[in-house]
Amino acid sequence: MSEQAKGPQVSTLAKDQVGGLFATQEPQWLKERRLSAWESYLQAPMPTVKNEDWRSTTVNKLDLGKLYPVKALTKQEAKIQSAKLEASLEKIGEAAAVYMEDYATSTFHIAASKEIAEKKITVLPLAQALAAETTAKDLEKLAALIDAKRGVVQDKFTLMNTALSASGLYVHIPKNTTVTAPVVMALNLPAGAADKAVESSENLAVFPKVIVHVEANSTLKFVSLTTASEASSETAALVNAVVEFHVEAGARVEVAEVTNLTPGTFFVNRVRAYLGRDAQIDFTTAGLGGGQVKSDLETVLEDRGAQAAVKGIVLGAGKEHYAYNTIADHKAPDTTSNIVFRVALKDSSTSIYQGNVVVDKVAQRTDAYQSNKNLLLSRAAKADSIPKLEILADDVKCSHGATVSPVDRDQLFYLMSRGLTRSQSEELIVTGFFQQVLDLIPISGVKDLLAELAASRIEDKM
Amino acid sequence: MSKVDESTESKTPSRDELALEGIGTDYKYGFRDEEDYVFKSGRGLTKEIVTKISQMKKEPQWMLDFRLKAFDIFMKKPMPTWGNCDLLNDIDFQNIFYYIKPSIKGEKNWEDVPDNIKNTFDRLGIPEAERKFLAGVTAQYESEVVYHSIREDLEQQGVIFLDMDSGLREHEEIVRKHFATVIPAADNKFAALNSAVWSGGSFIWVPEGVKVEIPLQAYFRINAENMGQFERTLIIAEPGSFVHYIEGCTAPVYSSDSLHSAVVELIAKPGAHIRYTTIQNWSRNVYNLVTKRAVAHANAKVEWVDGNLGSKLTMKYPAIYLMGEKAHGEVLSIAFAGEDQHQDAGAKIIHGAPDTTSMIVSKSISKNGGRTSYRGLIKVYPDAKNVKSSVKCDALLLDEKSRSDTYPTMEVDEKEVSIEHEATVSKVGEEQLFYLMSRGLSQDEATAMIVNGFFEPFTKELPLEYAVELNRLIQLEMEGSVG
Repeated sequence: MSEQAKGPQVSTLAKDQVGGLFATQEPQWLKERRLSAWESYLQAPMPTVKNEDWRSTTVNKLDLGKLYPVKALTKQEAKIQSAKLEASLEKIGEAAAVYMEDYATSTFHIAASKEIAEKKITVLPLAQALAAETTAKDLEKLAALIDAKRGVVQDKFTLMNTALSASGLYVHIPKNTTVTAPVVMALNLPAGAADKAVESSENLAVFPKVIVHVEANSTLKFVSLTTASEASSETAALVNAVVEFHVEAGARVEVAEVTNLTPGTFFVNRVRAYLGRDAQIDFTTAGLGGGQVKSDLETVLEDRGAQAAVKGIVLGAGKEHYAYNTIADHKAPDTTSNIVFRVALKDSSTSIYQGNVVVDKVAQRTDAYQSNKNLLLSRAAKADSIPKLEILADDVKCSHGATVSPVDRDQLFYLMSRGLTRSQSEELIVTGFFQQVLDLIPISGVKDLLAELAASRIEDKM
Repeated sequence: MSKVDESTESKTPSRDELALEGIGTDYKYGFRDEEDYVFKSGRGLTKEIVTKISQMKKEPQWMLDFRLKAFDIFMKKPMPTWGNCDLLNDIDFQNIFYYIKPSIKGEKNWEDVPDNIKNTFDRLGIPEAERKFLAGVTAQYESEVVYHSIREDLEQQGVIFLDMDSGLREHEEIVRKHFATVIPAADNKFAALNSAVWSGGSFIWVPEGVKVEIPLQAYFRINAENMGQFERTLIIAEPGSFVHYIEGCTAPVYSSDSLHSAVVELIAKPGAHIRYTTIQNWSRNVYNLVTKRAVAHANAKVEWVDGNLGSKLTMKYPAIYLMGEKAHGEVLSIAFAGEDQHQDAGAKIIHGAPDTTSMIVSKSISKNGGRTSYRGLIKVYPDAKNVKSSVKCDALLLDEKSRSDTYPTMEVDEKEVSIEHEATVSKVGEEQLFYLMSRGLSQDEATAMIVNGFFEPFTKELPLEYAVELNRLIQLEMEGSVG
């Protein structure tokens, strides 16, 4: 049993222990937030399939009595230990900064290029950011902003994260600053052991919190990798992440997040991007492995001219389950959202895509588009799609489309008539299916990484 | 009002006048007759009232048992927790009359219908409609059918077209075999309520191979304050037959809320074809919570053509269970929501067999703060290969106060399928308006023309009479927005 996992389970944590999980002294405001979140957490019911948001995602396999919240990582490692991540980082290419939490070795790693210091950019583990005065102040301000006008999400898992989060990253870009290379964050879970003792280190509960603050007229590329060490099959772990992007006027953020976990992982992810006047986000998410993946991707278009592009590729295999929920919240006039989600499912994997475009009364001249295509590659695969529109303004252009189908017979016939085998043809078609989304990704290294990861999953016993 | 009476004496042009008469008033059919009933049950719902309804109708024991069981289910079931819960929870079930028996017996001859009831129908133009093309009229006044006629050729073909109560009396075996097989009492809270207190509605049985060339039509009407109307319609099309049933609804305006909760079951046996057309114009205080469901067996075809205007809250999702190979289902619907109205309508198609196909076209318009929602489900079960389904929803928003929602759900458990869904929400196109106005139309005329064009895929599916009436209703609804 590693040092990391000691302490009470998630289900038996007492109130006075919530604050004791963390290595550093935290500011008072954060302690209060944790405690109040913990109280609300205890009150909040566990979501069931009867909650529309959790429709077809079963939480009951998740045994909180067997999960141990991690303590803050204190040991710093100069090098990245995971070969798999190393390879991924190589694919992505040059990075402005790399931050990694490795729960296989209970260490963290942080490295930054000269550019970061020169441009007065902050990339710090959250615990350190909270210990320093200026960064702590910014974090307090951002938290207060959310409390004041944006509303705290009262979802069980989000509350759990607020109360228990002991890890994560803080990124701050000052005004008028362009970061050319991406800032990369990686999270690595340990490989699973074949025999899982109840108190083995595999039963981790990790609560990363990522806060990215991009000030006016700046640009940032941000890549987030969530992976597990290879050769693990039956890990039982919970990753419950909350990610916030505060994008101020005229700023632009390009984000790619890759989920490449093992079948034993339950991954809950809540991303919220707050966009100011003329701010832009280009967000790509890739679901390429994980037992249950439940991801809410919310873009809040708070001021005139804000634009959000959200793209997703999901390739399910085995018994994996993916639940993606995109929310485009148009709160101001002249805002644009464009959502493209493509899902291909092998074996007996299942997926539910829910998308909601909400257009406020004042959000005139909203332009919103939402597309979800599902490709079924196996008899046992299941795809659900619920693309929703809630529109309270009249001068809008909103549309959505969704399809579910198998590999097109004509395409298959064409390729096979050219001498390819059936499986080669199917692979090509699936590759092409994703390529249309990959082509839209602005970070070129990520494009290559995703193409490779997708290809290896497509080939894998197809 | 006297002017309205005169105008109904003549033909089409006078109906124009009638339409004009209503302009500017809140509700065209908002006149009301003095109440004159043989029996009016007390407000509220108890086991005794359910038993009494059954006894008054001299129903067989099995129906009484069915009602009582449904009553238990109704009391146990919780209210739905989705949809417009605020409005739903406003319903006061204890403040509703569950059964009213009109002072006259079912009539087959128009002349015998008492004048005050006849007046109401006159104003709605039923006799004219009948003269023109109707095969039979089952005009429902309150809970009991008061007027009923079937053209002789239908009787000769062996088609049964009765009100549901007579259907139960005269054809108990057929009713017992099919009743509540498509929508069991336990289906939902409102189906349970209907099962407990149902009264009236239509019963249609079409023998094997018979094609009913002329649409069968029934008018429904609510007339007592706080009067729940719980009609129950059952249509059975034997193999290879065809029937088109038309239902139109209008109701007078009353101050407190009325509840309308119908159950409609359609059974299309192999190769049969049923088309069910509804145009609904309940007054603005009616809750319209309806369960409509059809079963289509192999090679059968079912079409719901559904127009929702009026009412305070409509929750209606016509469903088709495609249970046999090559069955086909279509739902074509429009919704129009004005001030303080919520049209929560949609469609459900369940693909339970291979080679089944379906199509949904939904058009909605919201204006003056009205809200329309499309809520739909496409479900494909495993082994239902070669399913094809296409869903198209278009919504128009006419002003900044209004709201439109789209909640489609697709659940696909089979690989060899092709499922498509498309939706758009927009306002009336500036360019279209500009074009029409440059041709000399006022903005209101131009808007009305665009709206009529928007609904055209629906109206063209209606018999002429209905298309005319619908266009006029839309015109009236649009009037309210002027200025």
